[in-house]
Parts: sequence; structure tokens; C-alpha cells
Amino acid sequence: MLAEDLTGLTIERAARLIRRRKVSAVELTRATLERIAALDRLKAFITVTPELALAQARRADRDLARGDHRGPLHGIPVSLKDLYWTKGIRTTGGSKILSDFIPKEDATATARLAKGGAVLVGKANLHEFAIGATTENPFYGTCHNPWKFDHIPGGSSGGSAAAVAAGLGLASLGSCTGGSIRIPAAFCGVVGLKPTYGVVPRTGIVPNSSSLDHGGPMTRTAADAAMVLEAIAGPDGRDPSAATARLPSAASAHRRSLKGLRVGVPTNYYFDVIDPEVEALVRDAIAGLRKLGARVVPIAVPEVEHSLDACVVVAWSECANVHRRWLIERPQDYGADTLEYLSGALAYRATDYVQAQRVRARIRQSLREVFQRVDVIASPTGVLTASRIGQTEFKLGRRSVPVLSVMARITCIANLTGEPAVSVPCGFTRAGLPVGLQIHGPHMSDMTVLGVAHAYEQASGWTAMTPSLDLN
Amino acid sequence: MAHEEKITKITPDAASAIVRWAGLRETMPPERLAEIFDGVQQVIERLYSVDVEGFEADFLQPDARAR
Repeated sequence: MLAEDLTGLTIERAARLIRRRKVSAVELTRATLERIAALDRLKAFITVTPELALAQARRADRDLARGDHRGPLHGIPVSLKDLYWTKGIRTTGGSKILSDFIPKEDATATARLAKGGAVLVGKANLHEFAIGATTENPFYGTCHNPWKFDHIPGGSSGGSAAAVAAGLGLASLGSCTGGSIRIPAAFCGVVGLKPTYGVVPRTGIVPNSSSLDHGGPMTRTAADAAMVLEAIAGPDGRDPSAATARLPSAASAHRRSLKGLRVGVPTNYYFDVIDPEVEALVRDAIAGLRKLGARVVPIAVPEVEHSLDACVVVAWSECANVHRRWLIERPQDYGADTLEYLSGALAYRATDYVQAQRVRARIRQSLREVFQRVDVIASPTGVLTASRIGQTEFKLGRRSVPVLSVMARITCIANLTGEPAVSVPCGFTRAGLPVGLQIHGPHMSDMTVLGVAHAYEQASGWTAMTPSLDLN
Repeated sequence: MAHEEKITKITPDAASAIVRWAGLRETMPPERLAEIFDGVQQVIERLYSVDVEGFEADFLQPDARAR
């Protein structure tokens, strides 16, 4: 196979080829590392790990030759957002402050990928400390959108999304506090899952906000996301918030029909502030779900309009607590936007934090009631497409909307409730920018939302689209 | 019961005082700090307009009841 064909594979297909020894892990890894070098201008990576990757790939090939196959990730090149601890490899968190931090152990998810035979090709770029959604990183370079070079990839897991979209590894792990997996997934035309809170242990992930942080997979397809999730999910005995319930197997996400599935489509909030092109594509996608047999049910979600405010207060309060010592000792080592966000959090009082948590409880109750009537909610992932690098405002009709104030408008809801939500590509605007459809389900329905995304992508074919990138 | 409260706009001097009180250095102009804190206050005011009677914050396991 040509190198470009190899890096364009899904995990499902690559795993079959590796298992049948039609392609070696070393071949696939070399092709990926060459492509990473050729597309360095995207700034998708902070650290590339070629020696480790080739050593892991050689071991994967040796193990397979001995008959030791470790599962669907055996020999598969992957990256990690540079927030996941990697033993002996620096983990910057996208910051100057942690620029020389070399963990003494792996994050739980890092270790589980390695145990599953995955090959680590590098640490992906991100918005500094995952505090922001553009991945314009002042210390490691602005990450670019593979579909349009002068546009952001979204964030904070922007490097992960750009890497997967550009074929620089078949999967990446991102993290999400208010939308940091699904926003870049939507902006870069890949699949991104924020799992149920606690399904993926947070052990060894540089923290942002303890009650809102989630780790999760970013891949080309929903079936691939299910396989990665299966490899990294489950309690580790160290993260006290880890969910104890077990998910169904990844195979259960392979559904073709949506017959009998009740899909809620919100009548309030979700479509109130939105780019008309994004709305049209998302409504087409919902019509596509109906064609697959789903029953579309209009739903109202009371109080959901307060989600972003509640998320902001909870997130910044918890985040400022994590950063307090560095804010006192090293304020000059933060990027300007991060310092502004964290400084703003100083004005929140304990009583405000409690109020935000009570509003959060109110919103969780709303969603629990909605999920008595429907199996999943379908909506836009974001209300905009990727903005230009440096752009701060977006035109919606005659209105100017601050980009950052609306980016997490919908995604933050599932962070507050802890429920799973996936973004799956649902088309492109006339300008050639990808748009995401979000499927949000009740607690522990991770494989259900991935199954809906899988059925949709099989029928629509959007996830087969890849950006055209000049390798010279 | 929904609670309504109009909070006084923060002046640059007050913004500086808040930063110093929190133990931090002033790393940006007081006018900019005041703008940031004013935005924060607007968010807080909106949150206090939500009726949360009967809803409690659960700090130990935010999602335990839903699992």
C-alpha cells in the first residue's frame, strides 16, 4: 500500500490488515511519522516521539509473530493531547510553566493504550492548560485547521483534532471541560466523544476543573471511537470520581438501523443563536436520522439557557484553585488570555460557586426528565464553524457575536450533566468548513450515542472525506 | 424563589484591591481588570436569577445520583 493510503485508514481497517500481517506496525508507524514531519506546518504536535513509536511498533510486530495479539489497537499509531502524563516524556499542558515537566509515570489512559498495543507517535498541541478553545498557543505555535490553513482547529484539543483529520495517527485522546473534544472534532471534521463523567479515569491528566473534566477519544469514525473508549474505560482505583458501572462492548456501537429510536430535537435554546448554514446542515442530518428509522420528537429543555453561565463559574473557580500557587508565583509565565480568564475567577465568591452548582443540579434534573421521553438528543455541536486565526467576532446576520462566548454554548450542557455526547461530521459549508452533529444521551449510554453516530456516518458518508494537503 | 440583586460596577481601584487581596501581583492595567470583573459580575447576576429552590450542590460526587 502507498504511505498515504496507510495513513488514511480507519482503526478498524488497519487493525484487520495488521492482524492478517498484510501491513506491519512498523510500516504504518513509519508512514505516519513521515507524514507528521511533512505536515509540521500544521503545528498539531508539541512533541513527536519517533524513537519510542518505532520501538513500540517493532514490539507489536514481534508480539504478533509470536501469536500475541493485544486487541484492536495492536500496532495502531495514536497521539495524546499534551495533558496526559507520559512516563519519561515531557508533558507541557501546552504551557510554559510545565515546559520541563517529565512525569515519573503514565496517566491511566496512556498506560491502557500501551497495554492494548497502541503506538505513541507524539503529544498533541492544545490551548494553554486547556483553558480556551482556539489552540492559538503562544509557546508552541498556533495550530492550523487541516481543511483551511488560516482557520483555527478549535480547542482546547485542537492538535488532536488536526492530527486525526490530517492522517497524523489514527486516533488521539483529548480532554473536555466544556466542549474541548467535540468543538475541535466538529471544526476539523472528525468524531469526538466526551464520555460519561468518570468512565475514563482522570488519573494523570493535568487537571482543569475536577467536576467537569473528561478524557475521551477523537477518531475518524464512531466505530473507531468505540474501540478506543473500550480500551481506556473503567475504574482504576485511584480516581475517586471514576464510574463503577461497566459499558457494553464496542461491538454494540455497530448499528445500521435506528428503527424505534426516539431522537429529541430541542425547540428552545439550541438553535436560537446559530449560523444559518450550520443549522441547515444539522437539520438535514436530523432528517437523515429519521430516514434510518428514528422517531423525531420535539422537546423543550427547561433552564438549559443557563448552562454556559453555570459552566463558566464552576470551571473557572475550580481551575483557579488548581492554578493559585502559579498565579501568585509565576503570573508572567501565562499567556495573556489564560491570565485574563484566571484573574476573572478571583471575583467569584464561594457563594457564587454554590449557586452555580445548584443551577447545575437544576439543569441535570431537566435533562433527566427529557431522557424519560427520548433516547438521545440531536443538535448542532457548535453554532459556528471554525473562525479565522485571530478572529474575535463572528457575524450572524446583522449581529456581531464574540466567538468565544458562543463556542461552548451547546457542548457545555453535557459537561454539566456528566452525560455522554459525541460530535460526528454532518457536512461542509460553502466555504469548505466542516460542521458537526451532536448526539447526546443519558448516563452510561456512550455506546448508544456512538451507535447512532455510526449509523448516520455509514448512511451519509461524511466521515470518509479527508482534507487535501500538500506534502511538499 | 428567584433572587434579584443589582451589583455595583467595579471601579479600577476596586479591581486592583481585589487582586492584591487575593495575594496576586497586578499583571494588567486596573481598567482592564475592572472590565474583566464586570463581565464576571454579569454572569453572577444572571445565575442568581435562576430559581434553584429544592436543588442542592453535591460537592463530593457531582453525578453520583445519576449513576
